[in-house]
This record gives sequence, C-alpha cells and structure tokens, in this order.
Amino acid sequence: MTTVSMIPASLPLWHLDTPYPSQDQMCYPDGIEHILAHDGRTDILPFLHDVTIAAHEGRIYIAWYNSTDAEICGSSLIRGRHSDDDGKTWSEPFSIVGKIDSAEEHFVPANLFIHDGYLHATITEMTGKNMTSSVHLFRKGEGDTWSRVGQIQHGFICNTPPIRLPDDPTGVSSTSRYISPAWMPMKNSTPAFPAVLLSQGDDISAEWEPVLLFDPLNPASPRIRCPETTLRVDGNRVFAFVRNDTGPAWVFSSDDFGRTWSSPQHFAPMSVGNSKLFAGTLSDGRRYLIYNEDRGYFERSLLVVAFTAPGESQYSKVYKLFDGVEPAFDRGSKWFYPCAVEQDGFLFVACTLQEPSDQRSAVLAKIPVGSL
Amino acid sequence: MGVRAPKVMDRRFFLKGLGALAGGVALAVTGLGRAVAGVGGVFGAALGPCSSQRRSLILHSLSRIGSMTPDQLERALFESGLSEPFDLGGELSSMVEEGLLGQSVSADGLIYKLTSVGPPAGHTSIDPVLDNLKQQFEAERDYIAQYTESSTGVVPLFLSIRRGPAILMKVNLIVPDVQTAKTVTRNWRKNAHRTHQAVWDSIGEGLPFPKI
Repeated sequence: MTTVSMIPASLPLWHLDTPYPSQDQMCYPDGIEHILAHDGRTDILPFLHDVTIAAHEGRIYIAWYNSTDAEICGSSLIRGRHSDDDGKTWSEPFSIVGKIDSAEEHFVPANLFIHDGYLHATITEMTGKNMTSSVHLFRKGEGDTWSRVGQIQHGFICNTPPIRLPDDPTGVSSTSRYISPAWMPMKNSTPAFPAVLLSQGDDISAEWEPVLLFDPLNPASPRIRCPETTLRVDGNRVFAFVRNDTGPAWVFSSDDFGRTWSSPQHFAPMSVGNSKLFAGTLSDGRRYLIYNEDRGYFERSLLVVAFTAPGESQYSKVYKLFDGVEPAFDRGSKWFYPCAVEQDGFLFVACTLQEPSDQRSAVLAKIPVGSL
Repeated sequence: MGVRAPKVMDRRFFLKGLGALAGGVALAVTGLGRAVAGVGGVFGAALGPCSSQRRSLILHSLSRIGSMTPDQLERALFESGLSEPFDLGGELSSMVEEGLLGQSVSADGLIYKLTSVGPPAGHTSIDPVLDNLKQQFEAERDYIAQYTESSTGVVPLFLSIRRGPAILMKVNLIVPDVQTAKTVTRNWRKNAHRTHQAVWDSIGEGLPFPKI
C-alpha cells in the first residue's frame, strides 16, 4: 500500500505509434461466431449475471449467478452448463451452490479456475445485496457435484478468476501462489476498495492473504463505488484494472508480485465504460483486455477486445465482440461482464446479454485465434 | 442504549488522565455522553484535539476496548463525547503508515488494532466510558445494522437480531440517502429489542413473546 497521489498519471498501455481507433473503425475478427449458451427467456430464474468460463479436460464450462427476483434479491445461486463440442451444444444447467427457495441467501458471483487437475470456483456469500460475509472455495467432484473445500476470506467479492503467479527468484514471495482480484463493498462509513488475495502457496483451501491496493480511509484515495478488478500478470509485474463509475477506469501496478501497489493511474486513450473488465493472455504470449467501450453511463452496448503483439506490453489492436443488436440473435443490445478462455485454437468470450424482455442470458463470442 | 457515565461528580466525569495531553483542560461528559466543555468538546477551545491528542485517544481506546472498525471508533470517540469530531479516517491512515496501528479485514470491513508499539500510559480516568462501550459493542453483536450502496442511488439497509446462529428478526429497508441510513443504523442498535417486542405485540395476538 502506498501513499496516493492526488493527480493521477497515465500509464502508457496503448502503443504510442498506433492511433486508437474510433468505435466506427472497429471491426469484428474474421470467423467470429456468436453463441447463445443459456437462454434466460425460457428459464425459471429471470436474473443472470457475471458469467465465468473455463476449459477443463476438453470441455468448456460456464457458470453464473441467478437471482430469483431482481439483482441479488430473493435468493441468489450459482448454476452452470458445459459443452463437449466447443459451444455448439450445452448440457442442462447444473447447480454449484444455493437454493431457489432459500430466503436471503446469496452466492454472488463465481469464478472458475483449474488447480491440481480439478475445476475450482471462488464464490462470495452475501447476507443481502452487497452485504458480503465470506469468500468460499468450491471444487468439482464426480459428475456435476460440487463441494465447499474452505472459506478463504471474509467479505470480499471476486469478479474474475485467480491467476497463478510465477516463482519469485528472490524468494521473498512464496512460490506457487495464486493471486485473485477482489474488492470489498462499502461497509457503513468505510468506502468500497479494491484488493488482491494471495493464496498460501499451493494450499488454496487455507485463508488467502488480503493486500489492499490503497487505504480507503486515506483522504487522498480515490472513491470507487464498484471497484471490480481484473489482473494481468507479466512476470513479477502485476496490473490491476479497476472499474470506475465516475471517470476513466483505473489501473494500478505492482512490481513485487502484488505485495505493494502504485498510485492509481488512467490508461488513455483506451476508452473504458463503467463496467467490469477482463484481462488475459493467449498461449502465443499476446495480452488482451476485454471491456465495454465508453458510450455513456451504464451504456454497455459495445464490448471490445484489445490485443498486444506477442511479448509486447502495449495494446495495439482492438476488435469488436458484440455491438448493439447482433444479427446472430436478432436482438441486443447490452453485452457486459466478460470472462474468457482459450481452447482448441479459439478464444471463447462469455458475457451477460441483457434481453429486451428484461431477462438475462449467457452468450459467447467464439473467435479463431489465428484470425486475430 | 446510550453511553452511561460513571457515577461520579454529579454524573459528570472528568478526564484527568487526558489533562496533560489537552493542555490541562478538564473534560466533562454528561450522562448522555455529550461533551460539556464547550464548543471545543473535551479538548476545549474551537480548535479541537491536536494530532498527538487524537492519536493518544485512539491508541488508548483500542487498548481498552480491543480491535474496532472505523464506525466503532467513531462512536467511541465522538458519540461518547470524548472528543470533538475530527478526520478519523485520515488519522487512522497515517497511523497505519507509521506502524502505530495494524489494519486488517473482517466481514464487517476494516479493523484497527494495536501494534507492538503499544498505547501511551496515563488515561485510566476515561476507562469507565470505554468499558461501558465495550459492553455495548459486545451486546450489539446480536443487533446487526448494515447499509451499503446500490447502483440505483438508494441505500439498502439490513437490520437483524441474532441469537447465536439463529436470526430472530430481519428487516430490510430502502432509504433515500446515507445520512438517513446512519441515523436508522444508530437507532436500531439502541432500540432493536424494543422493535422486536413491538412487532410481536402487534402480530402475536396475545401469545407469549417467543423465547428462542
């Protein structure tokens, strides 16, 4: 944690010699396919959000949270589906945790990741909307059964999956740690703040150590209402991209595997709206960042992905993923809260579709990596 | 459930232990926990406590009560009348940076605790107020009142009474702003037991109050 500067600098994450394209100039990648993975219009549960995706033993898994009423109202539970044919067909929904008929029990949201050959999920439990109480770790067993293997922290929310950190050659940071982005909602007079959680090496069911990106009580700290965070790990350097509802998105950087963090910075000219981002890395070394282009407050109709060149740090290319009314579905027009995984030469980007009829569905963009 | 003053000096309580820190100003707290030493509160004058006085109060309160959230510290220092309001967040933040306080995280949010540096000596005269607050905070573990923000601009408020793992009553309210939420939160902690009784009286049709 460091003292926060009042004047945010800009981190040059966009390639300086490349003009950032206007929204009109952005194109879809060749061969992109739009897939409806879970149709909220025909589901008993009207509210769906925060789709997560993972590839495990040749299968694509997605999971999300449903609420029985509006967002985190009634009860909220984690469900998912899987596909054995790269998204062409999907299993019936399975349940990870939560019950439809429970009162005021909320599991929101889930983040799938693979550890030790097993599919895992970090899942936050709440006692009311944003009243977070604990972060649990779940593991998939036989078939579609899931079991809780431990409580790994208290009242944080994790919106994107943990990432394995590389070994620290200095030995200061323990090896084989996972780092998970997290944030804590406002708790009475303490404002919301972003953080990372660090696992105790390979023992991921033990309590993870929280590291705050800044002290939320420091008068110079930014006030961020929903600091949903995603991480990019470049060796010992970690970037944390944080949603901002009152201006451009923030990025924090750490040069010591997430132990200490820089002051918040912006990353113009990338134009990020107030929604969750997702950072990832392709198998060929290209970094990517998925976000809603800024079209106004809560206007989440254009979801895009920016790429670096292999081994490069700065993004230099942007593609559209979903834009307004999509012909494949003949409807739209809000696509948001992305999560992505690479499998079999494709990048699968999952996100929430706000249906015109007010339900929400889980959709995917399937992109041949060779076309990017 | 207001803060009760110690039964000394006509229900006024002089904080002799802080006298040196406060430049010799005697401090008085009424039975309602309000400072009666003028606009300057317990530190006198309109200037309020200086940084060393603030820190001393914070450290001693944590030493007597134990780890606290910022909200509990606010109540311990300001609502009990031990100090005029000051920028508690800024002071806590500086003290953490200087290693005077430890900062950790619980389900209730940030928690502040003493480090090995330890508290300054010599504030025992305010201990009765702090002991009373400690009891109050312990009792409030069963009276839960929390509010948060939502994207709709209104403030959801979650009030409950627990006994062990059982939830005896839960009330969810929507209020228009954080200030209202603060007021309701404070009043819930003071009056939850009375609310529970009143609700039962209106719907229990004369049946005995449920003992769980």
